[in-house]
Amino acid sequence: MNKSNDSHLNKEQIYKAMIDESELLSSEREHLSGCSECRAELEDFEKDLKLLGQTAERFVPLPKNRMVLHEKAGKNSLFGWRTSFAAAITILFFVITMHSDSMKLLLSNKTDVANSELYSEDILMTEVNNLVENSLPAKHLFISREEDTDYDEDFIDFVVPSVDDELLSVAVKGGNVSC
Amino acid sequence: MHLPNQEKYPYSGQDRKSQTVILAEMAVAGNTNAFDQLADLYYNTVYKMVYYRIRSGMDAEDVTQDIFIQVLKNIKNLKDFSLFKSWLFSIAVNKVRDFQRKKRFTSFFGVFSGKDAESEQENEHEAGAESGPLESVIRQNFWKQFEAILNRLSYLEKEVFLLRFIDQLGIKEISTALKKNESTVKTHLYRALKKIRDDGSVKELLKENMP
Ligand SMILES: [Zn+2]
Repeated sequence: MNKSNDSHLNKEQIYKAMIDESELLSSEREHLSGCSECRAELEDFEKDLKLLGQTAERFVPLPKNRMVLHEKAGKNSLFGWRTSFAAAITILFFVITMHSDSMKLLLSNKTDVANSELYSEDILMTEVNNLVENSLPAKHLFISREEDTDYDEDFIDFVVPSVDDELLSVAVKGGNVSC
Repeated sequence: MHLPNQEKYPYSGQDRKSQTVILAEMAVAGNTNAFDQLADLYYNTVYKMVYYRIRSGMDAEDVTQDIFIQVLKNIKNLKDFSLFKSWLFSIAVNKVRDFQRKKRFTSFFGVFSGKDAESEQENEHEAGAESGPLESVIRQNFWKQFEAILNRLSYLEKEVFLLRFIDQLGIKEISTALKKNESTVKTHLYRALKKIRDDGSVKELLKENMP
């Protein structure tokens, strides 16, 4: 595999160099740094891909509704309102529960009281978190356009499940076959 | 191309990264304004990323919004904010694939709503309105050839190629975004480059689209 310093890099070595020069053998790297011909070939390919990227970028149409996020910025009171409302409800729930259980709690020992409080706090936090998670700020509900979705996302996921790695491994397999 | 958001955030890579970390921390602490700023900072990047893959402006906007909603819902679960960009791209890659799957699903069952036809038309109008009709034809032709080049690659080859040379991510970022190790990324990138270079189609495409 040893390349003499005089022989030029082949295509495969040029591709390797494009991806990561450290993938080359040290002799190949040495050759590349000293050979203007190989350097030019590498730079030519790099230039083509850079130009491809720039051209693609140039041909992307400007988004029409890009300012939706901006326009709605600041109208975030609903998020705060919902969160506080959720917190208030759960605190109320907590207080009522504690009150109705107060006789029981009075009869139980201190550890039980502590455990029960911890447990209730857990419920409270779970409730709060659930509500917070499900209460998207109004502006984001608006931008999500969920009201005019044509199909049920869950149904689609059920019929056509998200198969992250499966799909990728199929792609990898496909790649192997083609090589 | 004139990109207002890039003017608004003229940060270098490192500045942008530290800006991201600060905004992400604030967003997780419940500052919705910080989240909006974070979304602004990455909106163009994500929108373009989506467009390269689905090549419809209206759909790209919808998918981009879906991506940011997903980001908003899950940013609190992100452990290391310095990986925000890779994480954002992993969400984007998945959302694009979901979209493509849904599109395949709807066309398979022939569930074409009027909305789709309308958007496609509007899309062509939009391309024509922004520039002249000639520019519109050139643009459409470019994307057709771009698609033809990519169609010769496997899914993963295509994805790593786009992420590296069109979205300009580093190998490490791609590896995080795709949850694949670096050598897998490099192997697929190598195959993609080989296929693309060997037939000279990129040169051909560029020759026709020289500004
Ligand atoms: Zn040489």
